[in-house]
Amino acid sequence: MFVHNGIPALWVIPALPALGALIIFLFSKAMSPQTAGRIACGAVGLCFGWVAFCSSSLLGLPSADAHNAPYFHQELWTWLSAGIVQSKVAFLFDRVSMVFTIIVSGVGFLIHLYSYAYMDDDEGERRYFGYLNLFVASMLILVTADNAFFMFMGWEGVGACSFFLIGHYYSKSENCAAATKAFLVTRLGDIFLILGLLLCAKLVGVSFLNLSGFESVKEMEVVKGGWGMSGHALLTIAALLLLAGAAGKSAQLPLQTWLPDAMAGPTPVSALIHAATMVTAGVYLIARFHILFVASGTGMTAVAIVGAATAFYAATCACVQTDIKRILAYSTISQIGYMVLGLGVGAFSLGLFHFFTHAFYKACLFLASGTVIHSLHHEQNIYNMGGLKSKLKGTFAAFLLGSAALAGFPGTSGFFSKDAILWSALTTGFGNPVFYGVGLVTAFLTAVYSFRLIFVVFYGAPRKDIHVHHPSPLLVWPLLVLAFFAVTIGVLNLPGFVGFKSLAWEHFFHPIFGEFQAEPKEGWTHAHEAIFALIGAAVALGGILVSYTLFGPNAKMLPEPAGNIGDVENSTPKPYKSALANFLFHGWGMDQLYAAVFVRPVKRLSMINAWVDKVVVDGVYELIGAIVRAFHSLVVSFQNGRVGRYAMVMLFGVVAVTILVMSIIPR
Amino acid sequence: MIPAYHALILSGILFCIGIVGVIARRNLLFVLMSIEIMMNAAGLAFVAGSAIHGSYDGQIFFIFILPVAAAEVAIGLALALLLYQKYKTLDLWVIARSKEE
Repeated sequence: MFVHNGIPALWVIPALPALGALIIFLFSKAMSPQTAGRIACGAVGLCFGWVAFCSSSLLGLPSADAHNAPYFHQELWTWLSAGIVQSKVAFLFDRVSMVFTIIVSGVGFLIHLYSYAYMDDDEGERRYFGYLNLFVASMLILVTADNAFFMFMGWEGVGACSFFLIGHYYSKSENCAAATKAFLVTRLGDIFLILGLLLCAKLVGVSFLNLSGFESVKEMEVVKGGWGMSGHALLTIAALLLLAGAAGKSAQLPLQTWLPDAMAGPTPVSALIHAATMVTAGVYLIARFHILFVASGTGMTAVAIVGAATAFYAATCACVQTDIKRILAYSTISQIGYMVLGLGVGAFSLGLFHFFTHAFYKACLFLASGTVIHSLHHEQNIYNMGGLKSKLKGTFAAFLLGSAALAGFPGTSGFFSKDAILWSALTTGFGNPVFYGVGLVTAFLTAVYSFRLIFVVFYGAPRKDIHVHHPSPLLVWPLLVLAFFAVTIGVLNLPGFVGFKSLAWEHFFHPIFGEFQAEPKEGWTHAHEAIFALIGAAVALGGILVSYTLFGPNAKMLPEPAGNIGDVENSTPKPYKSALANFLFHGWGMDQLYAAVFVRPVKRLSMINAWVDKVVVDGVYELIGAIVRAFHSLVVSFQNGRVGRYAMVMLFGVVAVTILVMSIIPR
Repeated sequence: MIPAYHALILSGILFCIGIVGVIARRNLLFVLMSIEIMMNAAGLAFVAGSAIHGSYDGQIFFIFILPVAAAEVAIGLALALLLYQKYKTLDLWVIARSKEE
């Protein structure tokens, strides 16, 4: 049942955490919060073990040739069969799924362990662990489904769990508003995604094993039943629709506004859902549909533009935030922008590599910030921290290593993955110097804001008198595990000029992406690559140096705050004296723009709608009610409880019927 | 000899008297008596019918009607007693009105 012909059953992967969630939700009244936490950790731990087993089985298979990667494929039953919507409950476990499942279950397991300590005194702990397990199950369905419609089930599942977990502290209304915002904005993207998937289903179907059909659609002059459009135009439309769906889930421009607010949830949730796994679902989607995007061409350019613009946008915003989690949220948006840029210039395996390294160092940073917040009694403003280096030693070490990887410090995983993307952005057929330039500026800003965190939070003198209580071991050692990987995992894809074991990751994914993976154009050599790696290293180190002079222990606070910076909240309209800093603080005013363009008109429309509903629609039904009541008052007087009256009425009735019958019946 | 049709006419008159009694009387005892009269009018009609048609069916029917009437009187009187205990009156209008309150 679980292993057939040496192939492990794939349905077990999402089933284990789903079972955990089921047990927790069914018996939550009967179990203690600690039991719920242990069940959740156990379910995800077992799941990680099974994923490791599946992965080793997959890696043990002989590779047929350079163009066909081995994969496991298992069909359970037909789920939907309606016209073009054909979907089976079937699982596909190839190298892409393998990487994603390892991150989801592995990093997910560490975050579960961390949550066990972090959520210890929380009254909603059982609910929390139930939804966390359900999230892992949905995410695993998302990355192991063999067709896009089944994948969409997981896609919506993670969205719902994200909604529940952002609103975990639901007694505060702004947390509920943040949850609703996240749900609605991602849902807007999902509408485009559904349209895109339906279009793909119409053209070639959505089974991930048969997407090569997009190649032949591209050649069609006029697609049959395709509104008289050419195959190429339809592919571009489908690609842009899928990109919009991916942008909603992965918080890319212009649908990025939900992610900074999503930090209202517990910090481990931010680490798992809003940094390591769910927000990278868009990257997974584009990587799966790479044939469509390459066939469209325009789609690739759009992806690259969105990625580069988002990376730059979010990095500028991150530089002036005061909330430690909000800095990391903008940094996540920015880093996913890098992944999307990598996909958009055709370096699909490098986009996945950056996802892989980012999952480790960003989960590490989020969990470390969670430990800091937990130790300081839920203080999140970095300007109320300071001098924590000696008080939180393990956390500081993890935070420093994570920040180094995020900043692209030479030798860390972030350096290799980011540099490889920048190199591709310059040299492949889809790339150009503009993408490279934007990416490089973003890398500089990334180094600045990531070390701003280190200098403000851990160095200098304490700015506010808060008692630091010592974190329990479970709040520290998962960070150190993640930090270890954040630093070292870069060896999986050393740059080409190193020579030894270089590009192992790209070779690993070569059979999947094949000729669609864009290679550097003629004329770019390893020597060039080494020079650009040096430039990247110099930019990262320069960023750290600039950060030291701007935010180091002896620096004046920059940008200059308007009032007491320690009192600044996310809704403070003007925290800084400089107008530019305030503009960046509020995410380039995009929330205000959307409020003016979309939210307020919709609210006004709803008010009109409510009036119409109350007066016109309700009026019709109340009129019907009034008519019925009028008839009722006519007949109600007969039923007065006087038996004599009843008998008399009956007599008249009998006489009338008798006369009628006698007059009708012929003699 | 009296024609059987006269018995039918008598039966009709008795039935009308009974109905008027049921409708017009306010005292429950008189209403019960009027119902008895109506029942007997129906019985008389059965007997007259059996005489007209020269068959015994109607007379057998009347034998069945008698115990039904007796049972009905027993129940009716028991009801009347209970009602009197509760309301201290057998005036149907008074009882009906006191129920409404």
